[in-house]
Amino acid sequence: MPIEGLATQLRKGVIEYCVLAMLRDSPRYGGELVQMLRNQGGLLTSEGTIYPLLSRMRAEDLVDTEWREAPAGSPRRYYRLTKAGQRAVVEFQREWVRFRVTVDGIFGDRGGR
Amino acid sequence: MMSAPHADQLVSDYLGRLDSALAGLPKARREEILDEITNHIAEERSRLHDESDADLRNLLDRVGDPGEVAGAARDETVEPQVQRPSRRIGPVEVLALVLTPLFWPAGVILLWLSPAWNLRDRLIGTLLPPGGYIFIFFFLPLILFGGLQPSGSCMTVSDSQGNVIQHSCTGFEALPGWQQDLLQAAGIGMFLLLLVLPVLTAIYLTYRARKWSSEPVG
Repeated sequence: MPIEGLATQLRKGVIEYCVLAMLRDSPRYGGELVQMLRNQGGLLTSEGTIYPLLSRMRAEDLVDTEWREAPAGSPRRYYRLTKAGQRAVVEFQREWVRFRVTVDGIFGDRGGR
Repeated sequence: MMSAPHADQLVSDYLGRLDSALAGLPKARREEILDEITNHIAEERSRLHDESDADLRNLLDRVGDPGEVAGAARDETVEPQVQRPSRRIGPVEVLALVLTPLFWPAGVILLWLSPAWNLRDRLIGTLLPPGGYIFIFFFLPLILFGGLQPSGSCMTVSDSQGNVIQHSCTGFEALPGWQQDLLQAAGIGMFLLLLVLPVLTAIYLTYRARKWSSEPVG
């Protein structure tokens, strides 16, 4: 697999859980999530694609939504973790740590310095 | 700084392209995504101090190519299996099973509404016996003690000394004794069968519903 494709696949695999993790502390609206991801750099190449993702996670009952008034303009749809969403975050974190430790163990000190 | 009408035109062009790119998706999903991205762009625009043409194009570039957003939406829509109707015995099925023998009209309506049974099951539930226990307890006695009772009579003609000149029977009474016993036994058997039939039908329907719920969702 070309390395560019690999990066895309990795992003696709983790973005959903990163978004869920960003909702752990408080409900957030789409624009807020986009800004947070922008600050983290590189995870979201096309910012608009977060909305299909959020919509799917809502259909899967990982998040639910509520409308809240915005200081200006139209009301915002806030996304909030459901119980299933919380479980998914915890499970991903466990898997991710195991995965990272395994890969780091194989690459050792020679990895990407 | 560009003119507001021109900026609005750029945005509505973008949203128009996004809308066509989202074609083919379920309506609710399409509207949700379009709605969210419309709001997203409006909020981002409100943060621009000096809305230059380059700023706005930059903003729309960041949101992404409409085709790419729609592609993501399509990928996300194919994946989830969660929205498929689940095959579980729910309150409708339980009520249908209880009411079909006990309160036939309501039970049969539920029987035909629930996806748990096929045409044959529904016909069996409806017709074996029609009316359930309501029919058996309210109408069967009328029939039994009314028209369908074994009917027949005997007539004896005697002379003045009391000697039997003629003895004749008609109908049921004309049959030999063993045939009368057989008919009566058959009648009692039919009655008992009618008593347990609604229960047998309910057991059969329960079996069918359980089989339905255990099959993989297609």
